[in-house]
Amino acid sequence: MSIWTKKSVTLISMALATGLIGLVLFNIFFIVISVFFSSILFFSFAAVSENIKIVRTILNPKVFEDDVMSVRLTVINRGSGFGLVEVYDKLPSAMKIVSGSNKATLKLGKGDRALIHYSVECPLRGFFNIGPMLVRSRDMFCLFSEERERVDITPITVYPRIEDARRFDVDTRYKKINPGSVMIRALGMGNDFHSIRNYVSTDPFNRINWKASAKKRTLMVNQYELEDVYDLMIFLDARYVTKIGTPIRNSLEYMIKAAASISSAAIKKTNRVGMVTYGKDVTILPPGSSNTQMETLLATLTATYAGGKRTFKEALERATPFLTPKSPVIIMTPLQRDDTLEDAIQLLLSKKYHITLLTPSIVDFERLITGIYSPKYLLVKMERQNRLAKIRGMGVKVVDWPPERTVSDIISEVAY
Amino acid sequence: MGFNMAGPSNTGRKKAKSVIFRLLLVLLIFTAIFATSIILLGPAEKTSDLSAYGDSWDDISDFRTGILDTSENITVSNIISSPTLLDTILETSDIPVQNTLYIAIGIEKEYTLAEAAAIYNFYLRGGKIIIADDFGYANSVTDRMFEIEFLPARLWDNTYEKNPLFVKVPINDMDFHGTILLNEPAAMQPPPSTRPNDPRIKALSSPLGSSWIDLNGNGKRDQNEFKSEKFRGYPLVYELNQRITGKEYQGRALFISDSSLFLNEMWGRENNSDFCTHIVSYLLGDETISSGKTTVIFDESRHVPATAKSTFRQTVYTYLVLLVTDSNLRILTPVVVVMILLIWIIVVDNPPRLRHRFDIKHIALYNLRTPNINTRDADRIRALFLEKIRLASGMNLDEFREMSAPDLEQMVGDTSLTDFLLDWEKSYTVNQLEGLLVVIRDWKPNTFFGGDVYLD
Repeated sequence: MSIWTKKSVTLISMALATGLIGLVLFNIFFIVISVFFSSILFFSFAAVSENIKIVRTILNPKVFEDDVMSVRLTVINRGSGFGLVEVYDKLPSAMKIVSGSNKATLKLGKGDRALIHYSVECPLRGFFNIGPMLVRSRDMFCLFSEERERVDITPITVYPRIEDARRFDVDTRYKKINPGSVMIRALGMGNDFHSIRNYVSTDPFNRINWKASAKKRTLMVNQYELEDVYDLMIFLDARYVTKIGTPIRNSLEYMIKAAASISSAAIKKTNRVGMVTYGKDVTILPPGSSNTQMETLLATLTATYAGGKRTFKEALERATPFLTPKSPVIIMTPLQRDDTLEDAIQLLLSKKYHITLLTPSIVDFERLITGIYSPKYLLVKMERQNRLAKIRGMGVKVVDWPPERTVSDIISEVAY
Repeated sequence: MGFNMAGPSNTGRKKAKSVIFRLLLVLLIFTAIFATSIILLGPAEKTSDLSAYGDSWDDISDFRTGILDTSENITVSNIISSPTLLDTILETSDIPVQNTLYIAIGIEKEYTLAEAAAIYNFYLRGGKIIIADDFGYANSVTDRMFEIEFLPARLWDNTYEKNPLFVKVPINDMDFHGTILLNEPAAMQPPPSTRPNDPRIKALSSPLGSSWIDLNGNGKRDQNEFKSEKFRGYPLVYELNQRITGKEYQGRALFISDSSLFLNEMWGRENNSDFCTHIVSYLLGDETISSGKTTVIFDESRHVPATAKSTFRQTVYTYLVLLVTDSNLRILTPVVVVMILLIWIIVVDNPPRLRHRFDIKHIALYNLRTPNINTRDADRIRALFLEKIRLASGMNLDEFREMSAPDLEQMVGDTSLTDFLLDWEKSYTVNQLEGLLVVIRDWKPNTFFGGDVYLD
């Protein structure tokens, strides 16, 4: 369907006006002018057509947050090459063009080919679509344009960014037979240094610390920490309150980045990691340790959006069968609007789970956005501090996460 | 995700309305342009019976051909819109009005007042007219302007050929001597009493036989359907002449009460062809025809179109002719059209600019949607402070509940805070609450009780 422009409407008005004047005055001169204008309009109207082929190529359709994705459009003209063609590749608003342009106005001759390159930065994780493409044809006078939408959609995936968490580990005192390593602050035959002591006759020679022996003038041996693997379960709060903030700076995004980083670090050390997300629904990913598990975790995190009001207790009830007894549990929640948390934590503690609470401060996210240090902020902040103190008093390791602190900084605090 | 895709949005209903409006306007414009082109340049087409351009038995193309054969100086044109065009044609044509003959054969619809006035004006200016009708529609111009009335009834006579429907009429007038054959003719009223001896009016009556008018259409001669006494037969042809001051020529009109006379089927009967071509020469004048250009205009607009297409076309033409001839429409139409166009120019927008908008600044607030506290928050602040004291004291809830007021007062160590905690009836203003909140934030226990001192 051709779209009129102000130019074409003005021209047709002139054609009609001169035609009317010609009729009223019975003046052939005006009628000739009217016919002339009408002819231009007619030919422009008839000339608006396009027959082009567009192929979109995305070199890296799966990227991590803040990565740059390259898109290439190949435009081939199969028509007459009469007029102009405007090509526009629709992008999600959460993507930022960093080079090139997703729009191009082309004058293509018959059989001509044009390449359009552009790169987009993906600052927000999620599943997105690039496309459809809008093709707008114009006549040579740009009087009319014809717009068509080509349903050519390329799905892309932006995974949450995994921060460096090589030093991450979790304190647990319960051994598992599975391979993987974890320091449990107990002496054993591991590789991480723990302390030195005097040599006894049963010690192997390769454990003798010669430097220390020389210093102490008696034989000293190194002692190492006992290594073990663990099953880590992460509870991720994805209720609607977690989206408070901006699309990039909100507690959910922070928690997802932390969850991805912690999972990656744990799985790299052959530990098993599971995940429970709760919000609109409860999604459970049983513990696993392979690369496939990591990909599944990333996909789960990528598909997690804030919504719903499911509580931690509901999530725990459904996830209990998947929890390895006495394993470490990391709970990521901003605490707000969930009164079941303390009871559920008490329940976990009673079963000897080792709990770490990672809690972004929603009220600080809000203060960061609004820039207001108001009495209401103070009130909510103090309530939160009371609650954190209460949970801390239950024997839970609580990590308060203000927005200013980075993910890697927080992860190092989560690790013992 | 809740993010909007960038780019133009297609809004269904609004866009559909806009498209329909534009289509209608385009249709109107192109119709007007094409119709104008056709009316000015295009050939005529057969639209109905008694057309000068149709070759069937009930058309009058032989009459048109006969006229053209009379002289090379005669040109034939037509009106398919409205006779009001006569004024414009005469103004713009290089053929003088006295050399122009307007012919309307077989009137099938009435003339408007403007059309009748245009024909009468044409006559007064020296134009020549032939109007043949047997249904009475011509009265809308003849009776209204010329005081000649066609009777909408059939004339019967005992002078006929083979069939009483074919009435034979001898003509010995208008420089013509012969017999014409009519088919179911009508008749006209005698001249009005106000103009009994008007020399400008000449009537040719029906045969001397027993002519009668079947007024009620029952096919019988009733008592009141008697022959006029004053005339020896009913008038079948009226000739009117109008002298023009200071001019040698005069306006001339011929009204004939039967259109069948001109039919192709009747063309070769008796002296019909001779009579028909003769009256053209008679009205225009032989000298005029031989001396200069003359034109004969067939009025095709008086026929009812045979098809919807023809009806539409004729309606459009009629409107266009009215547009150029009617003084009111000449002003009104351009004004209305220009207003519509101006509105259209204002309403129409250029296609939206295609632009990607990077937008991740959507803000969602929860706690600080209302950043200020109010008086209803007193209990909330009180509960907050009590919990803070309890956590600082290291007591559990039961122990804390059993604490006496003096012990609490001692623990708090601030009279205003103690009053706030213990006097639940007292009301506080917002400013007081804000002040208390700051004091509570900075509050620290006087002594370490063994509890969780988390304070900033």
